[in-house]
Amino acid sequence: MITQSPKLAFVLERLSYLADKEGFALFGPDGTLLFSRFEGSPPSEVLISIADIIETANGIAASAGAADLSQMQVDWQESILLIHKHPDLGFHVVLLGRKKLNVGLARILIKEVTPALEEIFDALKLPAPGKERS
Amino acid sequence: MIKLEENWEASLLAAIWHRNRIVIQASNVDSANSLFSLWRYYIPQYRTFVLCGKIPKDARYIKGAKLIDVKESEAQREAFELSYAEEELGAPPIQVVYFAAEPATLRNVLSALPQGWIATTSHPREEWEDESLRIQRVLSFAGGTLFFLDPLPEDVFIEQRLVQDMRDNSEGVKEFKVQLKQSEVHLAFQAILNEVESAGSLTQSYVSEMLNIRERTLAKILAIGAKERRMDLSRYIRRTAPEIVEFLKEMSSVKELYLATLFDGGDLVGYAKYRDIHFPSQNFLRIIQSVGTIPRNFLRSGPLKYIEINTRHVNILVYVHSIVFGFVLEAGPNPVMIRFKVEEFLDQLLKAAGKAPAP
Repeated sequence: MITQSPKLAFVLERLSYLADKEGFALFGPDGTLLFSRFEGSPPSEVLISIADIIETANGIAASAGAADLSQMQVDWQESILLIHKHPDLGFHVVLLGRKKLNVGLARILIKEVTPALEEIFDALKLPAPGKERS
Repeated sequence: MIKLEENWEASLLAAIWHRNRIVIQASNVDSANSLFSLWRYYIPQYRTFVLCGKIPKDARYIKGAKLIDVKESEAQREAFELSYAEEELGAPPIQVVYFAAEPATLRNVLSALPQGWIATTSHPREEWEDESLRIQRVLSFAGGTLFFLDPLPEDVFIEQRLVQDMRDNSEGVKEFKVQLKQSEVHLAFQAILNEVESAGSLTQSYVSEMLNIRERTLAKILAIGAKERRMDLSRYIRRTAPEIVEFLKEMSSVKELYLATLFDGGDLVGYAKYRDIHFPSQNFLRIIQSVGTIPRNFLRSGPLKYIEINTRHVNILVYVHSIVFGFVLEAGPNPVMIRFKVEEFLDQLLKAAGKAPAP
């Protein structure tokens, strides 16, 4: 798990501009939960479910012509789930929001905080997909 | 109506494949037998040959052939009836060939079989017609004539393609291609039968996807299977609703589209592949199932409406209404445009079906 760091504080600060956001989480390439912050604490089943969705989406993307998952969006009547996969490092940024969540703005913010997330992920010394770290 | 003169090879192949009754007539029996030998490779190899009459030497060595050596008409008739009855117990379909048949053979022996026989003869047409033989079509060669006693199959597109494809091939390659296609159709029918036995009934879309075939090919497989196995499976296969067919046709105007599917519950009720892609339709249900694992009490989110998965090459869209719509599109610069177009089609379809989309 990721503990508090200046980079993480920056990410959270940037994402705080996003209205109607209910939660943010970071999952590793293999679906391991690295960090989460939700309004109220979600039961562990929710995070397990999101990990399962990430695994299924990756499996389906791979079956569609060996193409990597880049992003995913799930719309319920009242909620939205966004998953962005880092193209090289393979970690997954997850945003959960109410239906009024501005998806375009959310994507811009994810792009904006990605360099910081890369540094956070790099500090964890986790292997990127297909790579072994020394 | 088939113009036999134009497509005579395809029609002959279709007639044999559909187990039509055929009389091969020539000035002498040897010539008639030669004509039979010339087209023998049109008979599917999975059939059991049942040979009778004055069997020529070369026919005696047909692999697995059953020879009916008895001379008495009654014994011959009983032997045929027995072989034909064994089909219902799971034996391979039979192909009876009666060499040097007399017109009386029709009355006394061959009338026992409603399908699946070929007779060679030197007796002219009039003598056969005197035995109340009703000839549906005639195909004349320099060396003889074929009398078709059953209406020729109407849809012979597979046979036409096959004949076209092997026009310049040697006899050996022609035989290979014919037998390969016949075996493929035979096995496809068996696969459908197995599925029907386990599931009770199937949707046309499910079978289309399972066997990677179009509607017309499915109809052909069922028609030939009905003749070969004497089982009408078409009643166990639910046809695609006309409004869904229309919708899938309209969707073909979306040039980025690879695949469109519609589900009613777990049943695949619409399926169209517009461009070549390997993407099992069950993937759409898998992702819905996976999303459904999020505890509802946490989300307070209401029903699931839409899922979009983007990859480097394709976009996968799932619209969840009373019917589930799944699409695979080429990854493009503006998939939102495509989404609007798809939703427009959905609204039309749902209105036509009297199922207004949920707000």
